[in-house]
Amino acid sequence: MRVPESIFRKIKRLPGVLWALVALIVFFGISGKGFFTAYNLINICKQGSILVIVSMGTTLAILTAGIDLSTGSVLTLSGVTVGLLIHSGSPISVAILAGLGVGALCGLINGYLIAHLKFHHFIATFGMMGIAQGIALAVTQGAVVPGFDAAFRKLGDGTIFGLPVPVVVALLVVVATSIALYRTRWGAHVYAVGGSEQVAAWSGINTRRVKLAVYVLSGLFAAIAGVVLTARMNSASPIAGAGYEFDAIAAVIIGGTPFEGGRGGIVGTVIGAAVISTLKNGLNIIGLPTPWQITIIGFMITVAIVLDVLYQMRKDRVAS
Amino acid sequence: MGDMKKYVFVLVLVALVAVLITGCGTSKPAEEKPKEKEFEVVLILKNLVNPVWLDMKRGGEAAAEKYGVKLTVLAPLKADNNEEQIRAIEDSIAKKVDAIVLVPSDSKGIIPGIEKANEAGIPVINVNTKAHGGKTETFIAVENYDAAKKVAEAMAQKLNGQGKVIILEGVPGAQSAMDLQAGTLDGLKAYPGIEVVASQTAKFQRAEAMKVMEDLLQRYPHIDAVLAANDEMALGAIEAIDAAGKTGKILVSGLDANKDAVSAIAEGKMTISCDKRSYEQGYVGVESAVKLLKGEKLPERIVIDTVLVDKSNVSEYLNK
Repeated sequence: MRVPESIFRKIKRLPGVLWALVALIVFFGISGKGFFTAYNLINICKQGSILVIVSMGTTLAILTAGIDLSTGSVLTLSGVTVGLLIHSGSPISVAILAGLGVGALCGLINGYLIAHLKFHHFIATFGMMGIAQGIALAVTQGAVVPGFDAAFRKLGDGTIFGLPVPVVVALLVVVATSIALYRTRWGAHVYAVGGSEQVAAWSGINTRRVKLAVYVLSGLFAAIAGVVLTARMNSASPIAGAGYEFDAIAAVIIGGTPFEGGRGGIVGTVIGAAVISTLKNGLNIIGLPTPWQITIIGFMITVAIVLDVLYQMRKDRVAS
Repeated sequence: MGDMKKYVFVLVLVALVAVLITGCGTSKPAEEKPKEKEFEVVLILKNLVNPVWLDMKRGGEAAAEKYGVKLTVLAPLKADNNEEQIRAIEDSIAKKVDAIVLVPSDSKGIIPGIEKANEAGIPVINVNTKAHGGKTETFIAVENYDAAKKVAEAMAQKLNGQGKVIILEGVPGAQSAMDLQAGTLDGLKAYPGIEVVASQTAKFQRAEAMKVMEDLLQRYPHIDAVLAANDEMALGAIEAIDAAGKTGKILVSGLDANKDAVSAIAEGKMTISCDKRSYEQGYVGVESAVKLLKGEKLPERIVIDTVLVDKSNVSEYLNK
C-alpha cells in the first residue's frame, strides 16, 4: 500500500512549492521590467528545460535514498563526445547516439558499483564525477569544441509546433519518467527501495535491478541534457555541466523529495526546477548582485527542508 | 494542510521581502523619475572572484555614475560559466536593456548569445576578451603586443643595453602568448647588446616557470635578466632565482601588476610589471555604450594604454 499512499502525499504536498513559484512569478512580474512577457516566459522554459531533464534522473536516485553526484560531469562528457564526433565527420544521429551511450554507460558503471558491489552511492558517483570531468578535459585538451551546422543547432534553438525544442525534449523526458514511476511495477519498486531496502528485498523485489536501472536512467538523462545544451550553446565546453548536479539536487529537494527517499516525486521536482530557473532569471532581471543570488537560492533550499521537517513532525503528531 | 499553506506563504513572503530590500539597495526607487530617458546598460563579466573583474566592475560603475545611466552588473554564479553568460544576455534582452557590455568567458561559446542580442537589436560592446563571432560594435582591450614591447624596452634600458636574457613564454598557440612574445622580441631588437640565450614556455603558470627556470639556471648560470610574459611566471622564476641564491643579481619582469607581483616589486625581488588597467577597461566599456546610444560612431577597436609598474610608482599599487 506504500505507493498509492506516496502519490496521495505528493499531491497533498504540491501546493507548498507551487505557492512559492506563483509568489515568485507575481513578485518578479511586479518588480522586474520585462519579466512578465511572452518572450521571457518562453525564455525561462528554455533555460530551465536542461535542469528539468537532469533533475528527473536525480529524483529517481534520491527516491531510492541514493544520490547521483556525477550528472553534471556526465552531461559535459556526453556533450563533448557529440561535439568531437560531429567535428570528425560522423553523421549527427550517430554522434547523438554515441553521446547518449556514453551517458548510459557512466550510469551503468555507477549502478553496478552501487547495486552489485555495494559501494556507497556518494562514493561511486563522486568518483564518476571526477572521472567523467577528467576525460572530458583530456579528450578536448581543455579547449571548447565550437560551431556546428544548422541541423544540429535546431535541437537547441528550433521549435516544434511553436514550442522550443529543449522544452519539448524536457516534456518527453518528464512524461516518460512519470509513466515509468507511476504506471509500472518498477516505479512502485523505486519507492519501496527508498522506503526500506531491506523490507523491499524481503518482499521479493530485486532491489539490485531497480537501483541499476535508476542510475542508468540518471546517466542517460544527463546525456540527453548534454546534447541539448551543446546544441543550444553551439559549442561543447569541457566545463559546461560543472555544478549542474547541485542545481538538480536543489530542484529535487525544493520539490519535496527528501534525502531519505521513499516519498516525493517528479511533479515536485519539475516545480522545484521551475522555481530555481525563475529565481535565476528574475534576479538577473532585477539586477541583484551575484553573491546575493547564491544566498537566496541557498535560502530557498533551507526553507524547503525546514518545511519538510515541520510537515513530517505535524504528520507524526496527527498519526499518534 | 491549511496551516501548511500559510507557513509556506509567510516564509516565501519573508524571502521576497528580503529580495526586495536588497534589490532596492542597488536600484533607484521607482518614484524618482529621470528627466530625460535614462539609458539602461548591462555589464556582463566572467566572474566576481578574480580581482581583475572586480576592478572592471568598479570602473563600469564609475562611468555609469558619471553619465547617469542605470547599470546592472551580472556575472555567472559558477565562475566563467558560458551558459550562464548566455542566460544573462537572454535575461537582458527580456528586460529590453539599451546596450550590453560583454566580457566573454569563452570566445566561441558566447556567439549564440551575441547573435540573440543582434536579433533583438541590442548593441553589444566587447571588452577584454574578443568574441569570435556575432556583431559587436567595438572591441576594447589592451594591446598585449604593445604592453610586452614596452616592458622589454624598459628592461633593456635597466640593463644599459647589455646582457644575456631569458624569455618565459605563455601557452603555446594561444593568441595572447604569440602577441606577447612578438612584442618582447621587437622591444629588444633596438638593443643589439642584448642576447636572448633561451626562450621557453612555462604556460603562464607559476609552478611551471619555477621548474623551467631551475633547469635554465643550471645551463646558463650567468644571465642578467628574465622577461616573463605574465606575473605568475615571473614570480615562479623569482622562486627559482631565490633558491639559487641569485636574488638581486638577475632582473625579472612580468605583466599584469597582480598583487603578489606588486609586493615583489616593493621588496626589490622583481623589477618591472605592467598594469593592464582593468578599471579603465570597464570604465571605457560603459562610456562607449553611452556614446553609441547618444548616436556617436565608435571605432572598430579601442586600445587602453598600459602603465609600467616599477620601484618608482609601486607605492600607488600597494594600497590598492
